Amino acid sequence: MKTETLETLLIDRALGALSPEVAELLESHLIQNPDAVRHAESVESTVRLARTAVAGAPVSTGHPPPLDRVRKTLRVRRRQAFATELSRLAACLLLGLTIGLIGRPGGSPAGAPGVSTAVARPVIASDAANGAGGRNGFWSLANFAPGKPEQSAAGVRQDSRYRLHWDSPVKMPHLEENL
Amino acid sequence: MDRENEQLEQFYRETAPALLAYFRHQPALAGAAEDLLQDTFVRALKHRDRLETAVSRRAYLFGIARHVGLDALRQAEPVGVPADSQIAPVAGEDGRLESMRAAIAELPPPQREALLLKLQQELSYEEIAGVLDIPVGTVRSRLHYAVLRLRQVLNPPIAYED
Repeated sequence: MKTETLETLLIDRALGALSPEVAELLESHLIQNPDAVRHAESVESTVRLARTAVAGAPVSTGHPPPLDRVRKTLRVRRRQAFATELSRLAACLLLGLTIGLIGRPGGSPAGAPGVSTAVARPVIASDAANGAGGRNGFWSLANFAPGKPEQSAAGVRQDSRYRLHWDSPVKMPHLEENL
Repeated sequence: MDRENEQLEQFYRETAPALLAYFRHQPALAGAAEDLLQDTFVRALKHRDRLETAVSRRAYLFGIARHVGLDALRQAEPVGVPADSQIAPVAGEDGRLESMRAAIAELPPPQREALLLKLQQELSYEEIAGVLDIPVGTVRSRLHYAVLRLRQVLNPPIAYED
């Protein structure tokens, strides 16, 4: 048997971790080898001394606190965790409510001056007839009537040879010749 | 429910003193041993189903205790090497014991931890592996190196021939 193997088995035996079958084989080996017996005694005495040193270490273990104290602590911690979750939920609700109140059209929390909100101005009939969105306006359908010459911005020549062709928002616009 | 509580009480009575000793044997944790014991059980009872289904409830509890201890060490101020870990002069049986204590204190922490779980708590290799979350082979090698080192400190090596 190799020294390393023997040492491994001896330490396992000293620590009480050797199976009975292997222990029996080891015993039979030790009977035939007095040197191995000395080695075994050395390991055994080391572990025995270590066990005594550890067990007899000057430490007062005292009495553990009663289990009720543990239970009480557990209850308190659970309650604290629940309260924390509840306060988080309340904070979320409050935040949502505040944002909702501020974002409401024409609405700001009472007594909160200076909060401006964007409100769409309703189109008045007279405006619609004449104004920007009306019959003469830029977006008026009349401007796109067939046969009507293209409206151009002030300063742009009417007889321009090229025009900007942009038939799709996903394609780059390009210049094409005015035919 | 009463039966469950009774079982829990019994389990607590059996394991609490060992856990308390486990914490008290660590100089940096000894002062807060009772609180740490309480923390260990609070954590264990939070996930009581895991405790009930653990292969070794004792090993499972020591695993939690170890984590509780590590957390406490992380939060605590760094502690210097305790005076009692210095090697004392050998004089008779007491001297040998003192030397052994000092030699154990000088072991690398992973080896010392495995050795203490083995010698103090009488856990099996498999249980120690569960507590430390390492393979059984690693437990074996740590324990072997620890014993060899202690033997070298206390006894001169013996030449062995096959």
